[in-house]
Amino acid sequence: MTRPRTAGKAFRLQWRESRWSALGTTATLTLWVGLMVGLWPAVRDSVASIRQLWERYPEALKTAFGVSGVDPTTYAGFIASELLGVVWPLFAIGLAVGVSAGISAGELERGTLELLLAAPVDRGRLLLGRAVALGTMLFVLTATSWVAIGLGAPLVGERLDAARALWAALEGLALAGFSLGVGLAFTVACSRRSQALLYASGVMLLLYMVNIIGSLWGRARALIHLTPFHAYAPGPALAGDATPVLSVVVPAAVGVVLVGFSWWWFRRMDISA
Amino acid sequence: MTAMAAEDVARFEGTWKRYPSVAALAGLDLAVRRGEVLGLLGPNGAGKTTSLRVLLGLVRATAGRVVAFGFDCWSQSIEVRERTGYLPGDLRLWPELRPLETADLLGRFHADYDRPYARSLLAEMSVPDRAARELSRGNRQKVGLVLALCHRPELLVLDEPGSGLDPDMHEIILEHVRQACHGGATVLLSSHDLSEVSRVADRVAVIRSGRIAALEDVEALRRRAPRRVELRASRPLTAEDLRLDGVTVEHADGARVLLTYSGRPAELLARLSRLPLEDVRIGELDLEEALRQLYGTGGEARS
Repeated sequence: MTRPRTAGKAFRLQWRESRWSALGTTATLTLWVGLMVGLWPAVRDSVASIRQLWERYPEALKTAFGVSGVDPTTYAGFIASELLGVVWPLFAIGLAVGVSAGISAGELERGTLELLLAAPVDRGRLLLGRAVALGTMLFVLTATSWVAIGLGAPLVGERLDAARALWAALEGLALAGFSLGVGLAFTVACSRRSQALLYASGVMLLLYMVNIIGSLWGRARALIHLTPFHAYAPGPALAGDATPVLSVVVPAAVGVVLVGFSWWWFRRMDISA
Repeated sequence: MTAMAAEDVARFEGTWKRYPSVAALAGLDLAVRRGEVLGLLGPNGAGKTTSLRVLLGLVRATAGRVVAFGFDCWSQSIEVRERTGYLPGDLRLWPELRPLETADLLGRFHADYDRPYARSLLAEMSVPDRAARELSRGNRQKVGLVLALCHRPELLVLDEPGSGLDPDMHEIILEHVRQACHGGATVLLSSHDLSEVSRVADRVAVIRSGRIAALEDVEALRRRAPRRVELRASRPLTAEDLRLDGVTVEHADGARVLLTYSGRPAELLARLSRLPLEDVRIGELDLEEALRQLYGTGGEARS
């Protein structure tokens, strides 16, 4: 008797369930990228006034949004400050948390988890298969938006350093992976999707606020090291010259730990409709 | 694998399931024999659903152990579920999926999924090919039954399958239980409706407060169950006329007597044959009364 592969089926199940969310998010973000790229020539023509405006921003505020040391009058600096600082993470975190919150809690709330787990599935592989499917969606989101950024550059007479773009993309992917871990941890701990979504979003928002407050207020500065948003600094990654290995590895590692916790919890939890 | 009696498909041994505020199972001991239909009866909250969930590895027992097909129902639950078909009490389906898509989704986790069989079962039960959200409750229950049967399980676990459904649907379910049995399957059927269970079950286990209060062959239950008998004689009947073990006179009005009788029919008929009767009406077996004598009322644990 050969048992079908649980992880592969779980992957396809998750892909089928969330494909429209992923497609919608990816398409909207790509359109946004196109808008930003299209705006660049107009910005380039107003370099002096934009530089003047930029220099008036407090350095702490720039640090808080991960664009410290960035020159927004360059293509890379403009993309980092206007797209990657806030909008890109918002989309990626939204997709990661929104979908992952439904993986276990959504099925439990709908009442289908009991039926699903009454089949001969390995619970751990079921969860991991679905998490990998979501990770793949996040990868596609990242890849698509960076392809758009990269392809847009020559269209507006600019060029991007491929290696720097890769590091910035990896930073974004690591942040998305962290968010996936948070969403997964709450989905296995909650019995309703809305509850898991609320807690996971709340935690991400709290971490974001901690990063902002820590960046602006010297006494709380140590706290920023607790948040993945401190590690997420797309400006220096894209427009600087440092290699942000830790900014990629640390959030990704924490995300993996959270996925591991979710796997452990999901395997031992009682399933009661 | 764990050793268990060859004739047992599943066995609960001193099984406990404690929740923070209540013990759902309190030392449950029960063996399910190969090839039988075992009815699990009890009031709401007695622990029926919890015991089935423990058997399927959906819920982990706090103490004791549960073994099926020689496999531990928690640590080796995949092996157990591979051989088991399950119809939950509160069946919910993926609202956007059609019946065969749902069967494909779940059935393909089984090595022995038989898609043509699933298709034929759906056709046989006349289930419309529509998304689950557009199906009636009865049709959704039919889909659930197909999901439980489509990999030809060795053990069929049905949790209150007829609850809230019309008599036709009851009959469909019971007919498929009979067919599964003829095919060699073992059936564990949970219900609070004795009349439903007694039509197919070989044995009934009465669960109360998380433990087995009584375990009886259905035939023995039938023998124990009282019948209502109504007599009309050509003269007033006396207490001496009706003196027989198992007879309780409920109402006497001269030549008309209403009584209940628990015992062998032959003995009652022999006694009645000596009386000047003009009419005799013998009612159905009152299994409910027999069961009530077995487990009383109430139940503190949750199901």
